[in-house]
Amino acid sequence: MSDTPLSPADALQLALDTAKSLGVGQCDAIYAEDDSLSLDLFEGRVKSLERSDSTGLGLRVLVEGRPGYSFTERLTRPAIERVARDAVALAAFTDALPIELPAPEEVPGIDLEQWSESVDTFDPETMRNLLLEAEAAARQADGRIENVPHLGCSRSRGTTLLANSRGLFSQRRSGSVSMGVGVVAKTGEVSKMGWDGLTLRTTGGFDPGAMARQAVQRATSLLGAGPVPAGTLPILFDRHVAGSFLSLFLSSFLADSVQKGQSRLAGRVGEDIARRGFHLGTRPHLKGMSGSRLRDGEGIPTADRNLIEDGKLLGFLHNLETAARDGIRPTGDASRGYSGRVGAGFSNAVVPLEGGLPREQLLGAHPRLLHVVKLDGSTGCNAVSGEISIGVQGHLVENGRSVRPVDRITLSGNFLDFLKDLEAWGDSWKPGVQSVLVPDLLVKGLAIAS
Amino acid sequence: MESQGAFRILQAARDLGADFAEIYREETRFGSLSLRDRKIESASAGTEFGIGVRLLFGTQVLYGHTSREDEDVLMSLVRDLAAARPGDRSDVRLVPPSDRVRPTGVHPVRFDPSSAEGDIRLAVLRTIDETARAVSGKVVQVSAGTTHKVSEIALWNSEGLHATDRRTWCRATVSVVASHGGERTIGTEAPGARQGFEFLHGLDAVGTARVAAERAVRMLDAAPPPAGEMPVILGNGFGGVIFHEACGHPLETEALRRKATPFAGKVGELVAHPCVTAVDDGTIPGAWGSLEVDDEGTPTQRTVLIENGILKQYLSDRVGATECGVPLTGSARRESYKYAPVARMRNTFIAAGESTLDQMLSAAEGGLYAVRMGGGSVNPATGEFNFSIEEAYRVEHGRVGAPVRGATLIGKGHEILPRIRMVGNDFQLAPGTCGASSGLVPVCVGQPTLLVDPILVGGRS
Repeated sequence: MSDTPLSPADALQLALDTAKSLGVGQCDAIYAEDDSLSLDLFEGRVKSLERSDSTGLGLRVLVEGRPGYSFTERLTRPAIERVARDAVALAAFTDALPIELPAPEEVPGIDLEQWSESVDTFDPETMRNLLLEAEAAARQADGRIENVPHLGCSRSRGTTLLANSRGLFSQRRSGSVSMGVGVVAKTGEVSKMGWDGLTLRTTGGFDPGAMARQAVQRATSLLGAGPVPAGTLPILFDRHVAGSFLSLFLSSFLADSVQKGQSRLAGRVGEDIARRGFHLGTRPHLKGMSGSRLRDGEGIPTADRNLIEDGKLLGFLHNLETAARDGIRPTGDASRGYSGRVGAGFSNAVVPLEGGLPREQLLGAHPRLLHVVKLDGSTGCNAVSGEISIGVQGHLVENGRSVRPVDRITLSGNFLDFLKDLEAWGDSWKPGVQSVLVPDLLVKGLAIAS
Repeated sequence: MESQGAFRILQAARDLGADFAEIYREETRFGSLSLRDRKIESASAGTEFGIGVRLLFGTQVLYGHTSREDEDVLMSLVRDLAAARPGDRSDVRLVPPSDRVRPTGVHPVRFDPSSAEGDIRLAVLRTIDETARAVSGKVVQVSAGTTHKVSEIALWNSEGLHATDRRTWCRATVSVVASHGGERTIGTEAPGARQGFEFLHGLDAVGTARVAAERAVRMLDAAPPPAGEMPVILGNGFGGVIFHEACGHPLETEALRRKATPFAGKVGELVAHPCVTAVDDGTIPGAWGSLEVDDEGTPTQRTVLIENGILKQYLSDRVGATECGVPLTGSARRESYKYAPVARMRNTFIAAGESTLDQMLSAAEGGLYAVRMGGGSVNPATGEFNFSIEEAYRVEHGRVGAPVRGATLIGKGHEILPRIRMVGNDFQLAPGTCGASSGLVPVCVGQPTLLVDPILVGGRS
């Protein structure tokens, strides 16, 4: 029957074959499926249970070098044939790219630890019990907890297949389990939220009591917060927010941004842009992490690489298109989902721990500093201009000890100055599966407005 | 899928004890074209297709979705969902399917993007590129794009409802980078409507490109903003994003049912300055956030949230309305079949008042005129918000003074409402995309120019 879904491998092959039959020279196709289950609890009862089963196939054709993209979530023969026709028709709009898709090439047989059968055992009953325990622990931990509005668990399994017209075929499979707790503490009219969460590759690693107490501690420690006077202070970004903060500016490292005038790092390769000893790199071969992969989104083998090494800018993140424009060999940084065009990005964006200092030492590095534990919005940060303008909450630290909580302030400055003014970093990343691994970051000074 | 098949699946859900069941089938065609660096860099199209099944046991929500349409796949999805929670059998029989609820044509489409008729996308993109580059030699990069989508929705529920809808959206985006003396700024615009390609025919592409480019160039010379508490004039249109984030989200039943809103239990109370009336209106013809029926099949409506400062109503979906004991407002929305619907905003705005910009400038000496807001975020549980300003000026001697950039506004939504001192007469709506638990949905924010006194401004000097 024409409306019976095809197997993933057959669907990919049909997409490539149809494109070739329409006269396409080069093409590649990606298939992704995701199967996940999530459960939310509120005040002792399951509020919602959601099960997701999604699939999609995306095709890129290069008609005399001109790219056209199309995708479908129907894996039937007519739907896939239409995808090929649409992509070919759309290629007529675009300008040609000077790229050649990769031929099949062996990649090292490294187990990146992306998958465990135990993910399947993370069932609704297990989730419910963990969340009940967390909710009870949160309410017991402190009398000022007035609400536990967020209690959730989930499991997810995904498979991605990539094939191209030169015979390349690769597969990536991953699975993970997650748990999160969000609490609200209140005194008088003031409420503060605290959150903790964790993603793992295998079950059995959650400690709901500890997670709840951590969330409670984060909320209650900010009660009574107020601004500090405007001025400049050394800032310690806690490892729980340092990665989110850095992520706001990581697009500056995309070759695409550089080539199109949207990065202030353009033309600065070889220059010292950060403190000596500081590294920032892409680490596709880290075991268990969510961005780990042996091939990139176009099938190029990946490798660990620094973009900032010992403070010096070494290069940018490329896909086939941007590498061809710069006349360099592909670096294996392409990223791709089935519904979008090929981009580039960090596999895992990593600030290595070498040279890092323990938290206590960082807190005591200045007579007075601000320890930032929460970011309030991010839209005042702009990767194009490098501008930093961000609301934060945290603790005023004097001689290594927290003296009072701080809120209603914004930090401002520029990302390029931030890199230059980095003083030191921590010796650990926050736990769990993630794709941005950044320790505590101590920066000499940022302007505080209040 | 046929109604008879849908009905069998819904009956199976009821037989398994569900109090209510619903099937949502969606097929959406997307298209986009983007220009950057004077070239058309990407042209893409695609189809999202899937079916979402929702079972309610009381107000407990079980939701699953799949891209398979076979009845046996959907039957097993229903069984899996029901098996994941304990429940009693129900003997209640379904009422048979009612007459279909069909689109009434409130949002007529002249050039359906499914066909090539009226496709002037390339011309619009080239116009934007050329216009923006001609504004100044300091313009170094122009990106422009168009996106459109056409959604075919069918919905059946265990109360016999069968609704269908066809929804068409079209949008243009402009992003201009200016550079001078090592400084780099960006100006953006993104108009859109619930229309087909006729939206592009009616679009002032030259004006839109110019506004974005001129803003980017003007902000190159902007100084760091002042800091501290001060009067702030919030520009019309997209300035409404503050009300959307800081007051709109806390008025959704999704926040109310988690007791995570400062507005809980405050209907009938004065929550804003009496000059403030705020509305969420899904009925505006052609507006980016408008609907005909919501994603539960309830006809959309105009909902007055705050009238002359007094809180009147929350925005609700079925589950929220039942659990919180509030009226149904036809606000249930979802990004796609991948999400269970919850109450979301549509076109949310503060209604026009009588003040003029000159009057507000006179009353805001030493303050800030925030012409164009960037984005922002809010924590509904605590009301804390933070917004960036894309284009701002100091208010000096009752006039618009020197440009500043890099400012943010910080505060709590429920504390800001009483501080709206003056409401302008220049109401405007602006389209945006709102993200929450049921995904990304098109909404409009809107307001006339407002004077808020004071707001905490985060800056440097």
